[in-house]
Amino acid sequence: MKTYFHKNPFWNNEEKTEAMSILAIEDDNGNVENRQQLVPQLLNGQTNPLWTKLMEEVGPSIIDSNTEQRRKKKLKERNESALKRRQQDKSKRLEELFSLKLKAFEIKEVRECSDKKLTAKIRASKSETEMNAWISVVLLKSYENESKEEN
Amino acid sequence: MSRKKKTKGFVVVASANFYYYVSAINLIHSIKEFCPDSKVCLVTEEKFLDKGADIADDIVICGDHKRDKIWGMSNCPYDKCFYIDADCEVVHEDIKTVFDKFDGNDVLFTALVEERSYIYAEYGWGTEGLKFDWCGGVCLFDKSKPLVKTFLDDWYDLTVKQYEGSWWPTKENGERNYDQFPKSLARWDQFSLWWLLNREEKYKKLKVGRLDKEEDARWNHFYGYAWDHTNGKEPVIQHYSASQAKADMRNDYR
Repeated sequence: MKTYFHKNPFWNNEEKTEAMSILAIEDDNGNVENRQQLVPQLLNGQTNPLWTKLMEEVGPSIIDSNTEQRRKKKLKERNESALKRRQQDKSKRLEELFSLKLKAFEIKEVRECSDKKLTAKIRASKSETEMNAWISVVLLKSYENESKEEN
Repeated sequence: MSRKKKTKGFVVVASANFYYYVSAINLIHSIKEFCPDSKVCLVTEEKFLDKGADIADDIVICGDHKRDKIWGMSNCPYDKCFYIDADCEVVHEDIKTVFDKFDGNDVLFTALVEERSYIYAEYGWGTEGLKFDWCGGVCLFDKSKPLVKTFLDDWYDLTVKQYEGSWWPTKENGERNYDQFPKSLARWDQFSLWWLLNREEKYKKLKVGRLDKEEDARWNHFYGYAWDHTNGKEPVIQHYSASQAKADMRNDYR
């Protein structure tokens, strides 16, 4: 049986006294088991033999480089995740507003309103309350026009 | 001899369902908010028409086929046209620049690309790496060119045949080639578009381009995009092709 570290360990703390690694354990038939291995520098106040092995096989400069790469990768993942969440929120808001606008244009009086300034106000509304207020103005104007025609 | 100046205008089509008519009126209002002097043609069914359509400068009556949008593109009254799907709205003033985007092409679409494929209902098929290239949600075209007009007419005719089941690519033995072109493609007018542009010799000369190149996502910005595909720039056209609002309203009008 032999053991060796993969070349991808990274520091597990800022003090660089602990590393996370993958330790390969190969049996006499060549079968390999990969095990995640936390490697602290000290065990019971003594230098950890696995630490010594890790430093010999991989060394601090590779661990430094892996740690930096991992930090960048995690930062990118976090940023992407935040961007995706923001985009999803934005999409939901846009869809809700679009749905409201279509509901407004389902109303015949709104659809047929010739006052483009008013329809623009409806379309630019940022909330249902604001939109309903402008719809009321359209309906009122339509009612007034109807009343005038009747008289 | 003086050359007649080409006319320009937007074309919006609402057929098959009243939802598209309501949506089209909303879209035309949004176009007019940014381009009050531009011509807009509404292509729709006579039964939908009301005073709401007065917002359009021109009205063309179409049939009730769900893909009469292609017929509308071919039969609108302008030379240079920008077609926009009815379930969209214009949200940025850059819409004013759309007719400057021909860049030597006859017909321009937004591209269907790998990085945005997570949102497409259908993209690639078969084992030969075939895939749709263009999205028909918006289309800039110069209909005064005879080849473009013929192309639009052929696209419409082929789409109608595809939908009614009277056309499908065949194998050498005459059987329908569902091995290479699965049946699931039959519901997309992008397939008839793909066929004409990739398998019809006469359209090899048609210059087809990507609208605004790498910034094309701005011009057909699906509301459900999970990522920023516009390099931080604001979208010009928002597309609500699969919104819940659409599903709800379509059921209401069924």
